[in-house]
Amino acid sequence: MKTSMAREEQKTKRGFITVLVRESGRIASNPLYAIFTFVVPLAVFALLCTIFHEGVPRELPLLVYDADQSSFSRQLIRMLDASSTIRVVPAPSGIEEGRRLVLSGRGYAFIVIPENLEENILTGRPSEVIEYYNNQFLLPASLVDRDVKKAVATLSGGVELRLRQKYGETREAALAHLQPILIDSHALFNPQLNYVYFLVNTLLPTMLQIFILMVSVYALGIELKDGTAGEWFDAAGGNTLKAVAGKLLPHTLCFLCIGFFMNTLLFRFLGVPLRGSIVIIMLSTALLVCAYQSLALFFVAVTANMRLALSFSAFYAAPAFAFVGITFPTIGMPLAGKIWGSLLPLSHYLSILVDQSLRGAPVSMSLPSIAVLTAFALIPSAAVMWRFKKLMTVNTYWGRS
Amino acid sequence: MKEILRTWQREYGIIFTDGGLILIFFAAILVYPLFTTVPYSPEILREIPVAVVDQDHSRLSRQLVRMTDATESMRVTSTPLNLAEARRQLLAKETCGIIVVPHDFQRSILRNKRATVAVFSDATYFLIYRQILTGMVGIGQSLSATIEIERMGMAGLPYLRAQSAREPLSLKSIPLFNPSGGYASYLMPAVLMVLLQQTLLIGIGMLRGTASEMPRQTMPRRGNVIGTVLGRTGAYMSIYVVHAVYFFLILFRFYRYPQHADVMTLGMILLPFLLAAVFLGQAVAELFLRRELSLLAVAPLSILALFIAGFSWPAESIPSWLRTLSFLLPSTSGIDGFFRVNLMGADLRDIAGNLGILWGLAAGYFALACLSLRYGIKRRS
Repeated sequence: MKTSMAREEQKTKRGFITVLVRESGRIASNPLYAIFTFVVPLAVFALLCTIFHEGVPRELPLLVYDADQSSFSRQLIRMLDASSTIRVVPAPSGIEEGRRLVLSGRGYAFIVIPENLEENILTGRPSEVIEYYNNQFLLPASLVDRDVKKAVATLSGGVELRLRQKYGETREAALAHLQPILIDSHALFNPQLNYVYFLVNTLLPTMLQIFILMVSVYALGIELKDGTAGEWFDAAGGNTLKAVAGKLLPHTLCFLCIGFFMNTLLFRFLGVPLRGSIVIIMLSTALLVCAYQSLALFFVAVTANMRLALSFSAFYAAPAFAFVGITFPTIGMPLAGKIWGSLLPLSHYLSILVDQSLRGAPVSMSLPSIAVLTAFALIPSAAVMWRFKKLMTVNTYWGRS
Repeated sequence: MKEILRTWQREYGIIFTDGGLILIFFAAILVYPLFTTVPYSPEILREIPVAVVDQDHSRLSRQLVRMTDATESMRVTSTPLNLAEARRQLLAKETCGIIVVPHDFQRSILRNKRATVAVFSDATYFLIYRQILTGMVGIGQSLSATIEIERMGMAGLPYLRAQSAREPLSLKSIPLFNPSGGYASYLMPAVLMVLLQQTLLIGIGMLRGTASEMPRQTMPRRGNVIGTVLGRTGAYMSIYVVHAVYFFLILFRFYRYPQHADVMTLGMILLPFLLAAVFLGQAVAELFLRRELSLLAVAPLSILALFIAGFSWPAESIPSWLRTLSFLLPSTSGIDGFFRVNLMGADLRDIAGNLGILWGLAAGYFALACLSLRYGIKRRS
């Protein structure tokens, strides 16, 4: 009677809380967890913020060869230099030097102002400025090109306006002749085309998911590799669900801290517009953590080998950014790319994040993605629960590296 | 010399019998490039769905809609009655842009006034925004030109004929490299370089981690440190030269990426790049006391190596202290040098700076690798 009561007491002691305490101790005694849960992710966040701190690139070098050396050509150069995107770098000795300088990276584009430009303009002969731009450096080249186009068009418009007014046209009629149809372009949701809102906003969660997945795989897999899985299973009183939940919960809490800090960083300190629901974003961040932990359990269970599971995780999480449809949108991807992208919780998370931050979409629009994230948090782990029990109890699975 | 060959052989023996290493050194190299290219394989964004709110319903407005639908970059998928409905569709991601033709569009043009077409595009995705803008500006210009020619015929004014045929000052923009602006040709070469570097760092770290776990088997107790480093280097380099051939001679041809450099020139940039990465791998390898650590530490940093390299985000916009630090990674100079010689057709003299840095890194990391190995041996004995 007495012994059975003692056994009963021991059994209740062993369980969820025991595993929780055991795992907290493991986290405290192994600096790896602190390093890969806090130190490295925060350092990576800081680096990404530093790289993109300008938001919009400024002062990009543009090489100018001025063969005219007139007051008109100098006016063009002044206008180019006035653009915040462009920094004019003179290339005095001609076209060949300009080409060389573009090749060696001293400028993203090279413009040639032709001889006799001023004279041609004054006598009404049409003239042409030639711009060579380095399209291999897609982003800076397109920014420089945009502002060069703007400057030349403004200058040309001014000349034509004067010319037409000289012939007696009204200002309005002259304007209409310059370009009968004007395209008035509006960039919705991110009018300054700020890269912090576009890339940092999406890259921080991308980095976070890699760390969640890899640290969780490590925490689960190391028990198999070190052969401590049996002891872990016993601590849970032989209950797989309690063993897994108690094990993962401390990590969930740590990553929630990082995730909420990330959101604070984005919306408070980096000024990413928050036009939707912060509650939905926070909820999704929590689901993101759970989804990747669930996948970690899945990978460890399927491979029964920590290093193999880590390799799979790296393969799954590291190139994810290519498939989430931010830099290269989903509508342009082939079917295989779309399918793989939809198999990444990150894609669904980023869709919620962008909808609720920049786009200010109604909450109802994010509900399907939330449902998918919830499914990721539940299905992969539930599917392998029976197998995981086997891994924890059969010692032939242990010690593999 | 004997030490070099013996180590070389021993490293081969370990690598080719270890499933984990085969996965990193061979399987990843083989599969990863084929896999990551998938989303970008169409190269260019085509047929972006846009909505047109035509408030004019005139001959000219219909012409504008037809022209929009006919461009490669856009497809008119809906014609909502008002802007509110168009906005709803855009928020629901049914369309990516809205083109509003005002109700007095044709009348303004016929009365020689300027007509404004408003274009709203989804700038949460920069590529979409840029494609719609470029497409619409092109349509605006060609429709403007048509109208001007019609007007000239009607007016018959001599000065108009001379002037309107061409603007007084025009700009001719010529793309020097990657003329089609293809996304895969722009990104994949850099991804491949980072992949070479990262798999080397992970693989070498895993090798040393394994050795730490089982010190008796693989650790040279004593002996020539430099010989051991060189022997290992020989083993890794011989494998990675094959990988470089696969990437830059076979895959590049298969995907039709631009290839301007000949094999010799390519070798001149890839050799110091790979050497620097191999020595860096050996220099940091002693930090990885367990087999799995290198994977945990190195894999997440690949994205960072890519964005800090200064080709997607301009180097001028990265703070200079960070830019300077970034040159400690072989990938920074490696990608830049490779882009210039192979994608842009520069010659080696244009990338002398990059080559100098890479050889400097190779020398520095070689010294570090020797020190780190000596420390490793000392620690274990």
